[in-house]
Amino acid sequence: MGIEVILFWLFAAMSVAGGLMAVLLPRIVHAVFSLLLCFLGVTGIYALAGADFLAITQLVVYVGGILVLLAFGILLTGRTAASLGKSEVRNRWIGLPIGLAIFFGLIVALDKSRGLGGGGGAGEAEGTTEGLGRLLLGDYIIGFEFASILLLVALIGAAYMVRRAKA
Amino acid sequence: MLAETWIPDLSALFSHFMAESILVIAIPVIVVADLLGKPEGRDRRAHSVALVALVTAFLVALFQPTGAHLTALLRADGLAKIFRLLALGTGIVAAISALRSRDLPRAHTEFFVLLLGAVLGACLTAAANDLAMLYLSIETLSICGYLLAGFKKDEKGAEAAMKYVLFGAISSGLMLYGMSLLYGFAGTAVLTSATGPSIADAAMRAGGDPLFVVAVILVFAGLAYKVAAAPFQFWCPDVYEGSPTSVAAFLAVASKGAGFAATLRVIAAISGGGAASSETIQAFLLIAAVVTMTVGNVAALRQTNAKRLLAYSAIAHAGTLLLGVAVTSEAGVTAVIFYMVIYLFMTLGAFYIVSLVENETGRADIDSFEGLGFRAPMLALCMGVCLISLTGLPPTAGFLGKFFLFKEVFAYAGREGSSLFFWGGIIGLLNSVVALAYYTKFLRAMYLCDEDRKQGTFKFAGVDRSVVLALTIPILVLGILFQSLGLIASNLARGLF
Repeated sequence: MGIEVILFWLFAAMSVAGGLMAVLLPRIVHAVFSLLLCFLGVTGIYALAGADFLAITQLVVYVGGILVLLAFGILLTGRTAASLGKSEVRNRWIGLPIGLAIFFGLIVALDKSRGLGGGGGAGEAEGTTEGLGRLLLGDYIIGFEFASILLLVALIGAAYMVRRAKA
Repeated sequence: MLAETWIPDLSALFSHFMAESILVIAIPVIVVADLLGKPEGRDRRAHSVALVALVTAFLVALFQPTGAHLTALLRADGLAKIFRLLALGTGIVAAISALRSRDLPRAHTEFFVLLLGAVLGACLTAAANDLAMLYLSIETLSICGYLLAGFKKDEKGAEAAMKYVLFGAISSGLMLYGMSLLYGFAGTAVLTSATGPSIADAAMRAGGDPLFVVAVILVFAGLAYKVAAAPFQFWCPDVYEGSPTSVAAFLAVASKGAGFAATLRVIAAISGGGAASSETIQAFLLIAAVVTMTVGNVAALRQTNAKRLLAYSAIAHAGTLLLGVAVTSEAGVTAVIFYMVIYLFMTLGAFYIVSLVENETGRADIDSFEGLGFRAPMLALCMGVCLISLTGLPPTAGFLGKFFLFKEVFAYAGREGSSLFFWGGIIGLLNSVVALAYYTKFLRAMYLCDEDRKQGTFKFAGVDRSVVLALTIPILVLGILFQSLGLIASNLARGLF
């Protein structure tokens, strides 16, 4: 077993454990910090796959941005961790069988599959920043520009939602 | 190195996507118009710009050329054209309905920016030929939808927006997982391509690989949520009830239409060449269709709120349309387009009248329709036409829509000897009978009620009269001149398979 395989399982275990803890832990602050574990695991998997740009983006955007935002969100809503109360797990006996059924369905499908076999359509060099830049401003320029419209619209909508109604 | 070849030539693209470009320009114009001039005229400026943009875009879209493979990301084919027109048309009616309604908060700038964003998302969803582009446009449509659903900022609105967001997040996560698997199979995110590798090729190579089928079903989960098909229909009644009625109408028609356009494109790509996995996927779609319409129709029976009832009816219609999708042939697509056009008129008509009644009485219960047949005979007559068409009875166009759709289903069942499709069609027909039971609730309230509810007048303006007539007259006209619409629909469906 090569070092890559060991690292993959380590990072995969980190992501899954972090994700599960984020969902199941009753205190919201704990859930936020277990997301950190999850994000770091995903970063590791990206790095292992040779997607250097994605790994750095994941680190900067999710760990540096989203997590800090979540932490500030808890801080600024003026509630301490205690007064936020505990989140509860409901519908356990409906959710569990459905989740397990989907899980085993996927395992069976993966087992019977002959593999994806699509190959790296992007090619060896495209995983780098340069290749992504060319794709974004080349083939995907419409999507790239359209994303800015999405952000503008979302920003306007968010500003409306948080605005207090005029007295 | 400015003349490098990897920068694509976009001039040809703009001529094919003029309508979308108009919307893109209109969004910042609304924002800037909000800041210029007197604050009192702010709402008027916002809705004038939005209405002008929507109407111009609609007229431009009517004459926009189709065909030509311009870019791998977007297709400007017949499917894109018809669903773009549906989205823009719904946008116009929703905008007028919002302006006429009493419950819209005085924040027209934000409302119309979000509405234009949603219409833009719906247009591009119908044109997207690349999974990344498809996801981006669906998310634009959804995010604008979440915000519009909670636009009233009251308790029901908050519930509606929250449910919509949570369901949206789950189904969009499932869809992304499916898309990532499809990308793994194909090595590209392009659905169909004349030259390079595509997901259509990968479908041929994968054969009946179970993981490929799982991937397609996962992608379908995201789309099922957009069209409100089972088991992703739970959000529908609560969201329609809590949203402003104009928004509910938009979600019921434009959002659903965009979802169907995307479903048709994905299904056409993966089963175009007769790939081995397509039979499994067809069976899955058929079962989803039958369950959806049964769930929608049975639940609709117990409703007393007009918007909730129309929500369940919208779920039932999604099931009917899915039957047409499951046929996966050009004739099936023709039937779906035909039905979708008629669905636009009857659903928008019904929602518009509900919003008028809501304006007058402040409630959207079926009780508030009592005596409408005597207080506003024209309005009640138009509502009656919409309801008869929604049920699928002659002489309305709704009957022909159902007729052509079921004809294709039974033709397929006969051709392939598929008993699954035969029984699917039978259950579909039985469902129409159930639908009659709940649509007549409105008719009973409007015409058969106590004497004292028949008194008094029901005020509505000339604009409302024109919109209602513009939506209901085509239902009757298309019931007679169906052949031309059928011809247009079959032209638009050409080349998809």
